[in-house]
Amino acid sequence: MCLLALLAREPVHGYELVRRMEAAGFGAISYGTIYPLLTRMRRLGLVADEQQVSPTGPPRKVYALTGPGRIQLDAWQKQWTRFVETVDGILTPSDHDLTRS
Amino acid sequence: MDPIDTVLAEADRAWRAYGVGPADRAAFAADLRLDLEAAAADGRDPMLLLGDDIPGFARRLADEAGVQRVRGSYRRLLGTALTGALLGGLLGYGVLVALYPLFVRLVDLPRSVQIPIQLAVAVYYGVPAAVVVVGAVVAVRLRLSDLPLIRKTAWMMSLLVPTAGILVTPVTMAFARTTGYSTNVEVVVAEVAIVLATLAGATVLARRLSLRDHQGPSDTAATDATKIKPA
Repeated sequence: MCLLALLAREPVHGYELVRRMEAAGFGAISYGTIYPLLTRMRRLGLVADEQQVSPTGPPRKVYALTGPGRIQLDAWQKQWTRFVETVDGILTPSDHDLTRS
Repeated sequence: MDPIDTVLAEADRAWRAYGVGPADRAAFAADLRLDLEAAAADGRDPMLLLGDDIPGFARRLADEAGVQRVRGSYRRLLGTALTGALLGGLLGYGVLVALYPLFVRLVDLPRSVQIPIQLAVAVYYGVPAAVVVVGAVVAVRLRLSDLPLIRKTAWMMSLLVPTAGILVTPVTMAFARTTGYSTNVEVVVAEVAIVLATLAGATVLARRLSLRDHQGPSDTAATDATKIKPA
């Protein structure tokens, strides 16, 4: 989901995605972890890749979110929000609980 | 060796061992090379980029790409073929011992009939060899029926193993001749090893050829993105 969210902002190439995941706070992530996930998402039609000519080196494969990928990301975001609200509801003590204790 | 080539060679070995077909391996390698070259142009070390476990990465990539894997199972194949050949040989020997007196009684050739020596040798050695080959092929076909494409492998074996046997016979005879037809243990072991290695090679080749035609690129493009879990 996070990979899709990062790709939703702008198309990037694989190891730039790794760098952004690290910058987002996921710690050190190997490209060897991200690359198979991108492959799976490409197989599922959530992302598409295209080669972009680079002025400084070889062509780069840039990944972008597809239409189905955007729909899936939206569904996962809603699912995640509901999940977080549910967990927060359990973890955060209500006023009623505070007065009883 | 170029670090990218080193990485790709290690990944290719892992894909091969994992049963990934040549077309998929080539597609993976081309894709990966593009990324690694781009990373290298930005000053990133390909070895560090993928982590220490290249074989693990390669297997994960194959799984995530949804490739159809077909494993060679060469060790099982060779073990089964050898067992079948030995059993076939024993069975053939038993049948021959049992039926030989019957043959002699039924086919009583008059002494005036001259059998060419080549024909006699071909029958004398060819029949047991054929029984051994049939034993190996039947064993592979029946005992390894759980392996994909085993019927085609058995069929290829029935062509290649006899051919290999015919080809290796003069080679082994030439070797024996150079040793003065010695019956020393080392020489006999070497002769047996030459024959067995050739037949094993033919068996492995039969398996490889039977898999090759069926290992085109997997259809890894799926569009059903509605029943998946977050990555």
